[in-house]
Amino acid sequence: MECVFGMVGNGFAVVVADTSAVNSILVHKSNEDKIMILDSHKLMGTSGEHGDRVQFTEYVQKNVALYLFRNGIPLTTAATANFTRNELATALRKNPYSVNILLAGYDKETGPSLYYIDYIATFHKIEKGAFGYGSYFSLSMMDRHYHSGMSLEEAVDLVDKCILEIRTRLVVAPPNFVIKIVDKDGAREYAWRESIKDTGVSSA
Amino acid sequence: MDELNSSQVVGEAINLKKRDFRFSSSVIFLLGGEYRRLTPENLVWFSIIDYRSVDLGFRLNIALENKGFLSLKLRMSRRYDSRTTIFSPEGRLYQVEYAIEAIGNAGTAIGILSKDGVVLVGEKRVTSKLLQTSKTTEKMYKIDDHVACAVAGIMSDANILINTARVQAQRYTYAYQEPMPVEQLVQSLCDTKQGYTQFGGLRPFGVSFLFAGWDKNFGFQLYMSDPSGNYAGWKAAAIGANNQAAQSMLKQDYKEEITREEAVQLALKVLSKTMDSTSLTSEKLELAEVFHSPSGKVKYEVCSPESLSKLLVKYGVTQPVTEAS
Repeated sequence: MECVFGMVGNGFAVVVADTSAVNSILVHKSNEDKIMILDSHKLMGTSGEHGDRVQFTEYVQKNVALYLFRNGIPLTTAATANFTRNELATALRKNPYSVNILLAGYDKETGPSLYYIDYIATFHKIEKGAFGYGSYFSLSMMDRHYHSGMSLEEAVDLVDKCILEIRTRLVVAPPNFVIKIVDKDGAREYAWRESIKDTGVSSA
Repeated sequence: MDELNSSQVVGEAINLKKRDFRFSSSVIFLLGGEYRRLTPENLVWFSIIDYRSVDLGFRLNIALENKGFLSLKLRMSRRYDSRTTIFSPEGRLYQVEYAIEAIGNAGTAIGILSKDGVVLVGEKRVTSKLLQTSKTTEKMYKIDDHVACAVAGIMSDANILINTARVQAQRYTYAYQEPMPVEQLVQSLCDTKQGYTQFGGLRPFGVSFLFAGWDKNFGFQLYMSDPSGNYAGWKAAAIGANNQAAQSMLKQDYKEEITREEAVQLALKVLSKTMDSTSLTSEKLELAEVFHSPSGKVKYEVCSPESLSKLLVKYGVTQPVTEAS
């Protein structure tokens, strides 16, 4: 029931992920951050097996950092995406990672970009995309309302429409979502959309 | 000349021991020849009759001038030059230095960085009308679409390293779908070369390279690397025979905002001065350039012999061919 979706706007890219950590019928927590910030201008929204997800995303993050330390120049978003795909593809026929990734980044020369990389190393450069059961609803909403070159307000408005649709129509909809954006000023958390806050124990 | 007693001669031999015996192979060459050694204390003239390699050193049989004959078993710093993976007491790696020596006998190669390209010029040592020059180059090789190199040294060693560099470049492109940045390629190849100076017990590669390339991070670049695995970026550099002379000439005449045409002219001029031959023809040279084509793509082009001949005449580096009457 994990939902990850994202789109490219005017000079920025936005990625949204639900924040529930679930094990069969048990909800571990509702504030799990599944969008990893790779470096100053890249982020990676992920869904899939928790262990694989953390292992693989940290592996990519550390390799991106190592490249910067070794060579003094950062990897481009395209290079990072291709590297990620290559790692998934290499592991695929031996011990595959069950991780789906939406990689968003901003490069000075080429602007914002979004890449769809799924668990069997499918690789697409896209303007809008989504994973999970929520994709049935968010992709339809984005097909209806998305246009290229949207402003940040328009994009966040569309994100909220998608979240509303997921909450209304998905049977076990995740309650909370996190929104992160990347633009020329860097990759950062934009907002949370919470319908259930993790409350403490109520006092007697 | 004073009578020499054996302690004086032994003292001399100890002095010999302190000297750098890295030309031990040339000592064999001097068999029957003379070896003169001047010291403040005494003047010793002796001839080397025999030289035999023994455990941990060598036996030197010498004839002292009019004084008889001496057989010395000497333990020399030569013991530190037979294995690559150990330092000498002076802190040197002899095998690496010998490798660099070997390159000093190879044909010169010069590289010059200009603002719109990199120029590589090489002196060919193998010249023959029978050589298929259209198919193979002796000095210049393309590593990837955006990087090329000039070599000086042992050709067979160079082939191995060029192949390694090509594989490394493709491996990078396979992972990142982008051309490998030039410095990273040079660094990666130099890491390979360094391995042969530290472990495995194999000798170092007897090749120096001049890498010329372009990438979007730093534009046109020129790098020089040697058998030790050291590399540096240069504006103009020379490797091979007479490289110091060539380097000092380049230092004098290189200007910061040099154009590619001027760089070609400078390279040909410097090479003609350092080459032994009196007349330069296009058969004895190779010229290659890395530059942007009008469409913006990086191009590596080896100059054809005909255009090279014309250039040589144009820059006054060779005599024009006299018309057959």
